[in-house]
Amino acid sequence: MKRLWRDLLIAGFLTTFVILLGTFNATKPRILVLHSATQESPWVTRMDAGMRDALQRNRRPIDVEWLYMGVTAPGDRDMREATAEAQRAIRRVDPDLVIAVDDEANALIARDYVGRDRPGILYVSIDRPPSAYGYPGEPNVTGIADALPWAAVRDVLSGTFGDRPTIAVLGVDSESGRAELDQLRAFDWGPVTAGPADLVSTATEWRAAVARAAGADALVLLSIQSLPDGDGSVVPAAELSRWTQEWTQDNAGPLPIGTSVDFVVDGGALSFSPPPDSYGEDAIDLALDWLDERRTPGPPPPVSSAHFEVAMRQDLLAQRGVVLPPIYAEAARENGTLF
Amino acid sequence: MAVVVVALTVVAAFRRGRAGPDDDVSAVTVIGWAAVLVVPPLLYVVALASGLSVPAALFASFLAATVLFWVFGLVEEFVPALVAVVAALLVGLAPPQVALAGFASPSLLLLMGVFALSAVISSSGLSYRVMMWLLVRLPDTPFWHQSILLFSGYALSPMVPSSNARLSLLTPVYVEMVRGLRLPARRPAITALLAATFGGTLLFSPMMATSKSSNIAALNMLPAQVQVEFSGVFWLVAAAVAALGVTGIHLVLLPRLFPAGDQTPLPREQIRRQLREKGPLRPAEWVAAGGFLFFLAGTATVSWHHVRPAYLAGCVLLALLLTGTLLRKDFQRQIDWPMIVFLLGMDSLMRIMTHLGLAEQLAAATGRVFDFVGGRAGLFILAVLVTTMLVRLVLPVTAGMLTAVIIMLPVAAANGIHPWICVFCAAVFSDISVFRHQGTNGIIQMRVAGLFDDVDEAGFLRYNMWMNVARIAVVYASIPWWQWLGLL
Repeated sequence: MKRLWRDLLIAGFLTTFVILLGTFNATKPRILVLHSATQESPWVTRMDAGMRDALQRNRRPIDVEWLYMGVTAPGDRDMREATAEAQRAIRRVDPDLVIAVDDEANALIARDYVGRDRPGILYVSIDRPPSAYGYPGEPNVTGIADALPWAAVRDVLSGTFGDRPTIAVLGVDSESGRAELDQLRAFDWGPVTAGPADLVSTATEWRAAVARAAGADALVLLSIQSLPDGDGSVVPAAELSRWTQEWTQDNAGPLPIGTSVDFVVDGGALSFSPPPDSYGEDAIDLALDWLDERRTPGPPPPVSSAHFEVAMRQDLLAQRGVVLPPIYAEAARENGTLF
Repeated sequence: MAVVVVALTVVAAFRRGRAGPDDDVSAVTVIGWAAVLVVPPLLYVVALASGLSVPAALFASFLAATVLFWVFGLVEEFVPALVAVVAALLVGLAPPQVALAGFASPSLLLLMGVFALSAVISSSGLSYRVMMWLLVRLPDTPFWHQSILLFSGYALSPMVPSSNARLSLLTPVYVEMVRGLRLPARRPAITALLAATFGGTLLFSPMMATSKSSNIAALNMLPAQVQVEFSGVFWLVAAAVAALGVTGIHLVLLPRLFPAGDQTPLPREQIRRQLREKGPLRPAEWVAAGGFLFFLAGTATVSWHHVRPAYLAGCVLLALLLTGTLLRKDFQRQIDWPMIVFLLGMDSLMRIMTHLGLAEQLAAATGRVFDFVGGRAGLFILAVLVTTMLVRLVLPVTAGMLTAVIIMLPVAAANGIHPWICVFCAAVFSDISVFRHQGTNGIIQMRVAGLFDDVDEAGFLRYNMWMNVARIAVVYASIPWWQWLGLL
């Protein structure tokens, strides 16, 4: 009899072990990170690094899956196919939270889940106002809106080019590009005069737009993406950055000021860009806060981030006679982006 | 449902395969399995309800299952830690690089090397030869027999920072001595010899920074200047009273607990003849002796060549394999793989605990509990004793000591007590074992190796209890010495 009891208890233990731990695993919180760009994009790479840093600090068992839509650059990928894939991923993963990064993921996917019980939507790095996606006041939405560092750009321009500097604007014709341009247009630039703005779809158009901007003091570059060239090839974003800097340098063109995180790495002279790793960390911290129903029930309030990082090449700036206050160089040095 | 059906089918098939009388299943076993089934999930729920975080509650329930397995002796000793590690991986409590870190650490090489060396020393006949040589030359009294094992263990202690590894190296010597002396089973003489072996491997553990891996880890938690001062001989100087004390008590205790009685004189002439018949050292003995001396010399000169003992053990293992001294069959059978899995599984379990920061949470949770110390050394030692004993109820030696240190170091600082005293007390008290499952100080290893089969286990455990008390006594006896040294 004792043997029977012992054997039944062993069976009970094995069953309980599998069922309880299996159930715990099946029901533990799941997060789906939905990137608009491709996995290779420097912006995405650094944001993922920030997310992984935050996840390493996390001790609560959670599942995190990543999906890269790859729809930020013209000709990148068929939008319908990418959208369908993302929707299938949401059905398959059935996440508690979707972290939708950049405007495309929010415009194509996340906004469709507003007002539903599940999943929660955590937007990150959107350049359009949250209201553009119907987010404000919705109980299943929170996130970090991206306030591009226009004030920093304006301060540099006023300090460098005197009373009424003029700028031209160049970006890529995509959801993010249009949102960034809208944000730029909504900004109070005085005393800087914001001149012509171009959103282009090919590398040829890009080069032409750079040439057209010759009369301006500075050329503000919105997010740079790889673009198709006239011969059917694709010009990488890094190549466009390098070419823009070299062409304006050689032809006494406007000072290019990047807003992409890798503009200076790729050969540019100066950039003010949102910090992707910091956004990544903040997004995960916000998600974990939201998932913690015990200490902080409910979604945390949405925030708008005006943080930015400075990157600069002092030799290129010196060649153009641009001298910035030392605080910029020190900020870049601290960030590891002083070249 | 499917899982239940499968589990019941497996158990039914299992029962058919080994149907037998109920006699071999005790009521304690049934109660143990019931406890393992009920307590961990219950503990998880209670822990969550009392405000513990999900990871802490999960770890507590896994640890509870592990301890219950050990307390009730439900499965082989190495299984429970493995259950906890698998469970932690299953629920994602820690990433694989943490949960399996013990198996990816240099300890794996150290244990494989030392266990292989120990096996070869025994199987080559080297330990038998050495033992016969010693028995012929040393006085034929139990004191000398026991002292060989005690002081051999002491000599290994500063060089081999793992009592399990030291025990492995001494085990063949013990086994051959029992054989050479023809000691009858379950009599005081053989039990005293095992106690001497155990004492040799363990008593010196807290007495030097390098004789216990957790001593080194705890030393790293101390201020830089304290680390410099205590990383060498000064640790031994400060621990001198305790070291002499436990050694003295051990030597006084053995003849009283295990009186020699009428012992047949050693047949020295016969042993000499056997030695002559064995002839010169055989190649396998040369390799075993060379490996042992290489490992010993290497570990003694680490400060010069900076090669970790684990890698030296790896070299020894390679030498044994490359020379064919240890063949595939020996590699499979002679290395104590369950013990390696047990030790590395425990290591992994403690790394999960560190990953979750549970020791720090425990330290924070104790809050003002130790306000009663009031700067008095005696009460501080009592506080360390109680804390270490409580922690050791659920944690093995290394993790128990380190957790106690993490909890008590702030208390030492707040009470003006030298931090080394905190570390030393935790090191000494963590070797105390009262319950069966606390035998990670070497007792479990001896049980798994079958060393208890021929001894009076109750007598041995009585010796262990006395030495537990001795440890507390020698720490208190050290207070005037520490005052004289200016540590208090």
